[in-house]
Amino acid sequence: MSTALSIDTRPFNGLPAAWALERQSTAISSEAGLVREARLAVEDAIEHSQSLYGAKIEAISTLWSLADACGQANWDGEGARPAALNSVYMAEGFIRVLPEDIPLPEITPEPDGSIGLDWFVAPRRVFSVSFGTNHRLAYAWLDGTDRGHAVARFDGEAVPGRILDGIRRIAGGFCAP
Amino acid sequence: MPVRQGLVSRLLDRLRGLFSAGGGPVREPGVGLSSGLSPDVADSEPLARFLRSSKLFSAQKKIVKPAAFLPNPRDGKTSVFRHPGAPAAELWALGCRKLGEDARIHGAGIVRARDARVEGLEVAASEPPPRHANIEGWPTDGDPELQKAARKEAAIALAARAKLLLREP
Repeated sequence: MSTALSIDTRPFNGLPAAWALERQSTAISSEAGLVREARLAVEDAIEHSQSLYGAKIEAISTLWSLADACGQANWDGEGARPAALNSVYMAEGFIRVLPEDIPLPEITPEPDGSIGLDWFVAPRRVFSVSFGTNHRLAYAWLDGTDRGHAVARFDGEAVPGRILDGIRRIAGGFCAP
Repeated sequence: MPVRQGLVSRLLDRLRGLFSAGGGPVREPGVGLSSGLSPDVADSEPLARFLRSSKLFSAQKKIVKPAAFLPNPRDGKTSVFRHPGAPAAELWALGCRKLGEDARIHGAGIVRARDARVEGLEVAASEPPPRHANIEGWPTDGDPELQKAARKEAAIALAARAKLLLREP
């Protein structure tokens, strides 16, 4: 009597029975092992991309809520300009093309109507990019005693290399809460 | 009458002297400001940047965001109040008096005048209202984005030195 043929079709921990079966399987043939490994790899990849996609959707949703909250002049009580629609679209496009290994930023409105995407690792480890009304992005960083600022062009297709390097240098391996 | 003319003449000379060369009258410390504070903001003076939007700080991380210190786009200055170093309750009372009772003040970012000066910025008293001052002299550049980037760098450095003081609900 083989226990491998005894299939329980009830859901396992809320997961489909077949998926649970594969996770529990004790099959020892090399083919079955390869199939199982491949299946698990696909499942993990789907799970990872869904989680990433969900996080980006959440960040974009936060961006638009913030744009709505800061859509009126003087949102800061100090005479700030309303968040510019172009800035919001630009910031959204940037979030969409952020590579998977880059942690998602905090989103901050700026008094001139720009949208800032900030990576805060520590008070003296910060990288910040501003999205104004054109494709030129103002950015600045502080990394201990190293600091600087520059401008880079964003084509909407990929994060400019110098910005990507800067974020990786400061926030690499750091996950924003 | 010669005596009276002489007095008027001396008075006029004195007034001319006060307003000559220096571009304005010489002010004694504590004179000329309605608050009674010195017109010169000392390096060690704490400055409070009132936070009226919850988007400009993180209570969780206990940080003031750099955007909180970026200058107002209308006048290129960052409005602050010279914080007497008294209990926080007095700071909130000051904020409500100056910004209006209905002004929602979440907290304040506290920096010292020297923190701004080491960034090449200046702190100038600007009353009324009493105790008001501006952080000014933000970098300028013919390229608007490069100017913004330079200002961000200074604001990041200023925010890194800021202490977040939250107002109790």
